[in-house]
Amino acid sequence: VGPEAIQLEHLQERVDTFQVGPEEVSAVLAEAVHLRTNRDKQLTNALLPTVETALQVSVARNPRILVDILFPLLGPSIRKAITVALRGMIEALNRGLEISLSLRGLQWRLEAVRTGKAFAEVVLLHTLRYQVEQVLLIHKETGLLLQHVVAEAVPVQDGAMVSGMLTAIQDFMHDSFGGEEGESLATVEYGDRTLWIEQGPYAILAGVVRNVPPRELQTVFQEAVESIHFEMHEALRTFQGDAEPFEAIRPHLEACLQQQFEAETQQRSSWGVWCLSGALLLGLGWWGVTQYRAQQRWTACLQSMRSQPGTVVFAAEKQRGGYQVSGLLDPLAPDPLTVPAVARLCTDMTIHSQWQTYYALHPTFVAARARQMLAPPDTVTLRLENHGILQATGEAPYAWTLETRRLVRLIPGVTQLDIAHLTIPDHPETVLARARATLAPPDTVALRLEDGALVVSGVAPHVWITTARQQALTLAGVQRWREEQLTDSTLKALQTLKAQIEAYAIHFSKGTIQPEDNQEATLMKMA
Amino acid sequence: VTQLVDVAQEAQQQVQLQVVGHTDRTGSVEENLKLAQGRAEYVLVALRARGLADINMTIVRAGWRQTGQGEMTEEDRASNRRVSLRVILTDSSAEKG
Repeated sequence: VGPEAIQLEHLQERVDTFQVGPEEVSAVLAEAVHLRTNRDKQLTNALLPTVETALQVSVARNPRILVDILFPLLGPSIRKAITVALRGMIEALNRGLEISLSLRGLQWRLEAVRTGKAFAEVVLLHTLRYQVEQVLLIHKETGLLLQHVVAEAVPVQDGAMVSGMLTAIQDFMHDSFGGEEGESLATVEYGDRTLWIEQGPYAILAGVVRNVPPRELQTVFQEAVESIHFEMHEALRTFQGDAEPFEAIRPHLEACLQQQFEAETQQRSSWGVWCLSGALLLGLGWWGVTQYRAQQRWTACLQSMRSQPGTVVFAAEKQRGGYQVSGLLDPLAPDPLTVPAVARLCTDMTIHSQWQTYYALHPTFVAARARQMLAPPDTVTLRLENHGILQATGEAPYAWTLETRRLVRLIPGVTQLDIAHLTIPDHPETVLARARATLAPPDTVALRLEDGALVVSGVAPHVWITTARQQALTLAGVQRWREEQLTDSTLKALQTLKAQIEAYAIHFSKGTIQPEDNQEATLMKMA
Repeated sequence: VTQLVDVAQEAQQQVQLQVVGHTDRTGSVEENLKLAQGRAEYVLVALRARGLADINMTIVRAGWRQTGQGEMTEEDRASNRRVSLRVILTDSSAEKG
């Protein structure tokens, strides 16, 4: 037994001095990690604090190393996050639109009004397949609440009260119906809610679930209990009432707050959405076309108003129930809305107009205003030539030409009066020439014309004076006959002769009717 | 007077001659009036005889009331013993009108 004894001695020495050194561990470490990772998550959970600490130390020491490592991952991660967020937003929008525009959505709104519930609550009731509303972590031994999470939009209840009631119910069940060690309450149903209870060695995970949860949810609860017990094993075991350390396992509870909605029947919702969308589009289209046509008509109406001579539109705006137009209007121009061409384009429109007076320089209005102010006789024709020259032709009284010369300066748009082609029969020079030709006054007579009166002065025979006095009034342009220092030579001679005759006397002898001698000559002179 | 008539016609005037007989202040009024009448008739006849047959002439007895001057002397009285003519012109055109 010599060799065997030696081998046994060696073996005994190795057993006695056996130590697992780094070399031995390194030989089996990779395989051991692989095996344990495939079996459960205990290794992951065990390494997690060390890895986190290592990362923290690494970041604190030199963040660039981790940044360089994460850099290739950051871009895709951000893009993915944005994509997911957008998708979620679009889905939420679609869902809102579908619910709002669908017939079912209207029905739910009516139901919300009828029952007095919020519309969101009604929608939730109809579309929710299940939802974990709240999750409680309860210390098994003491029944105290360790952690409590509640889903959004779910009324928050007092977790401590719920945990106490649950413990009481469990104790009651255990005391009333007995059972083996380790048996406990698994579910409690009340209405459409189910209380799920997942037992752990030191703690109970209880979840309030609305409607019927899928079986997969149980796995989630189980994994959460396992993870909590792994991470907080010591804290659970030595729990003395301080629940603050359990804030760290809150994510495990939040992971249990799952929900699932019914998939909307695509066809039905699409049909409703399409119908409503179509109706909306039709309405919008009809409104748009109506507005466009109304705008087109208004534009044409306004354009026709602006094209009217003597009309200046400087403001046009749409007001409630109609349009407001303001501008300038020549007194000789008609209100544009009364012009048939304009009225035809502006029919069925309520237009309030406000015009201020101005004098248009359009040739039509300048000529019309000239006729209105100058009031020419029928024998005169007025025409506006270029550069504002007003030309008068025909035959006109001299007085009219004098008045016209004065007034024409006051007419806007008229710069000059042209009467070169106007015949003026009563022009003073013409009248005098005609008077001289007709009356043939003697050289001792002077004629002149003053304000239509033919003024005669000088010396003239009685016959000429009487004849001229009558003839003058028949002359065009002579309205009156006025004698000014005019001497009737015939009457003057007559007075002279009269005086001579009356100066003669025939003398008679005393007491007789016989003339004295030498009276015959006197008598002859008398006769 | 003939020339006067022509001119008067040209001036469209009608001529009337008043033959006025005057006396001096001697004698009674009645005698003087008769005397003035006689003297005026004398001149009127004489004028008609000398071509004034168609002239409208009337006699006026002025007597001594219309003597032209006082009678202080015989020359004054001789001057008052006279017959004079008074010409009255009227507008023929106005009359026609």
